[in-house]
Amino acid sequence: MKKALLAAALMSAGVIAHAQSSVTLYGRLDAGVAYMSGIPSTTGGGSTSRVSLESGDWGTSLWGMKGVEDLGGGLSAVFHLEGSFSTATGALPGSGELFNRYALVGISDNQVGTLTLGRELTLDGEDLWAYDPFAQSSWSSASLVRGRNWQASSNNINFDSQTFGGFAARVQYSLGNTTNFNEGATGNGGQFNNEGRSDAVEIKYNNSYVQLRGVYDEVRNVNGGLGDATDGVWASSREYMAGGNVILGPFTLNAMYDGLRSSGVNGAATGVATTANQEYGGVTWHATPAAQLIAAVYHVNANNGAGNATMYTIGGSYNLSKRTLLDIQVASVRNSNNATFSLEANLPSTPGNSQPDNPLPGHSQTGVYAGIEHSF
Amino acid sequence: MKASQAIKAISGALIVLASLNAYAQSSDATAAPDTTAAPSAKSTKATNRALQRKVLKALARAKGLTAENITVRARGGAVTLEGRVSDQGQSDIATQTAQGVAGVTSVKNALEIRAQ
Repeated sequence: MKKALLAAALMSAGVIAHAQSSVTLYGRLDAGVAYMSGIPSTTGGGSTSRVSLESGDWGTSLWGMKGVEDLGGGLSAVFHLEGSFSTATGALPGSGELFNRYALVGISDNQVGTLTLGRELTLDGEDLWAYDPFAQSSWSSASLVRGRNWQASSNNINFDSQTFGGFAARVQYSLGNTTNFNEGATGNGGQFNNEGRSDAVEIKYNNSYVQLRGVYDEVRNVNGGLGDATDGVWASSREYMAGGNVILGPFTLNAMYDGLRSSGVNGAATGVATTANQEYGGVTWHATPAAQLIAAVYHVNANNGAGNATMYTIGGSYNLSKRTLLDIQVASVRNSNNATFSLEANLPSTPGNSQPDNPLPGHSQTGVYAGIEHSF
Repeated sequence: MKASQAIKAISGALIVLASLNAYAQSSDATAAPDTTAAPSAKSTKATNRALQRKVLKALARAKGLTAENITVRARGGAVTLEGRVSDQGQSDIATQTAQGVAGVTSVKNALEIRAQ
């Protein structure tokens, strides 16, 4: 009798857990036509321009799966897989990972928070995209810091707390997976897909009108250093970000500071930044439920002769339906005498890593794209 | 003929005016007890804030939703969701979750769907 009751109880428990688990398949395809000027000519001197069909200008083309399984008592098991691809060519990203953005599995507690292990976008991009007026479109907050703030990182331990009185915190810790604690290995993510140990801490505060965010992170290079004599602060460094959004009816105002610092970099040639500061701000106007217009300015100031630059941009989107939108962005970046900042989030051009789209020193670069984006 | 039309028009206008006046007076009459019975601005604010917190908590615990970039504003039982989420699925979960919170009479979803 007792055995029968126990069996019945176990069976019903199993049925309940099964019934409440769910898996969602989702994705986004983004393609558009882009024009960009200020590209150094490969035949003779001066600059030239290009018209191209591109994927991921407004938002990355991606697909993924999310799953939740109820374990009872406020606990659930969660997973998240997400990979980017090119809608223009059908290709996987450069290093070929199927799930280059997210590959996470973990446990969520509805009182405390969520602990996950695996691959993830770094917190400066993963959480702060929503504090960039252009939400990390192709030409936005990552451009003038040369991609430093929108990397993916492998071998992470993540904890994302629940909200307590409007405050929440998040921690991300990435192991280098080598015999030397700080060093890195190929496959670890980052600008060269070989980053060393990295970590990030975020503090969040929300009320009905204001959302504030602060992030501190450290990304080490393959040798365990914070910055290096070739790529300065753009691939590895310490980073300090702070800012927020103010929501006033149909208007959202954004402002953010992004500071990059190296540590112990010797022999950096003139033009290699060992310190950089970016400030940006903008306004989004939700003109109708379907249409939004955005205007923003991004400014960077780097030391050691790397110069400074300002990017002015306007754009917007129009939703044809809940899942399909048309988008447009116009942008222009103005460089100081020796600066080579691009509209695109490119590293500086170095002998081992040529960046053919970076403008000539002191030259400006202007572009426009228009595209379509469909989500499923 | 013309005179009777004019009389009709004028009397019509007078009836409308009279009824407007009557309406104004009746609403005045009922308004007086209302103001004494109505909750103070302070307690209304507190009620709204409590509902905001309840909706935010529900959003934070909703399965499959990253709610950290969502703000909630409540006026009475009418709730507005603003901020950013990464896809339409998340936006739909947010609306459904807010609708399921006790005390919420309507949900306006003004969430922006964007991501990197």
